[in-house]
Amino acid sequence: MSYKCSRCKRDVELDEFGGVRCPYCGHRVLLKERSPNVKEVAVE
Amino acid sequence: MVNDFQVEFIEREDRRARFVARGLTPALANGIRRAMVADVPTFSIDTVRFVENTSVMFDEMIGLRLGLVPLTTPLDDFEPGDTVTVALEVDGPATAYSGDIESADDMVVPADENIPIIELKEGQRLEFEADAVLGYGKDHAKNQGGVAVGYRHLQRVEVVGDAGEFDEQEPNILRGVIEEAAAEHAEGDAEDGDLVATETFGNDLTERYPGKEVEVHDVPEAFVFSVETDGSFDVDELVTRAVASLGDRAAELEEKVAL
Repeated sequence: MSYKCSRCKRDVELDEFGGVRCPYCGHRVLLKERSPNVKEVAVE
Repeated sequence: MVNDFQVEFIEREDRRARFVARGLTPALANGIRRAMVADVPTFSIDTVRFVENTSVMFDEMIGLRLGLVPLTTPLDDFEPGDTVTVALEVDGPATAYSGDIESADDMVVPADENIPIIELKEGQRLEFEADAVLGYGKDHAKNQGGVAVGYRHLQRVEVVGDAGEFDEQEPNILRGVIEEAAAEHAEGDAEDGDLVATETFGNDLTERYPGKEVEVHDVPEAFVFSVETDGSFDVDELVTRAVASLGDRAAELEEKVAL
């Protein structure tokens, strides 16, 4: 899963062992980025 | 039942018109009105593929706004269900307008260029590709070509006498179109049978017939249509297509019930 650290703005890869923490600066607030995929929306 | 219809225009522009039609039953008049709203197809954005949307609005909300942008619709060249691809790419700070939408087909473009889609701030960006589909107003309101379509009875105004000397001078408000039946009492030049829009005398019959007592009657089988389009096509196209669709339905019914 790819996240972005809210303090140092670096991309962070999380695995199930490391816990929720930025490996570069130790910050515990990570932001989930929008998927780069094209999103299709039906107008209803 | 074969009738001759007479049509007389009071106001005629590209996107709005007002006309009197004679020889119609109320059912037929309402049928034409409903056909103008529901049975004349227009292009409208149907699916949107968002490549990037860093604006403050959700994709779905922008999609809804896009669906309501009127697109020009040359009905001779397309069949219902046909698709045209459009795209938009705007970087903030700027406002994305309907005029920024680029179309793959020069015949299907936004009818108005100044409809705001969303305001983008510094660093925000909107990019998408979308399919416009030719659909019917009965399936979705975004496909309605006729907006503000209605009719009312043509009214005939007759002078029946003088207003009492000591009567209170109250305005006599009437809206729509009147058929002149008392030209000799009217202000200014007038002839019997003239069609006069009530706005020309402030919607007030006492302005046109000062000091007279008047009676207002509906003219049978005469309707004043007021038609406005969203810009997909002009009013002539809308009305003739609507009437043609009624004719097609009648022909279909005749064929289905014929034994």
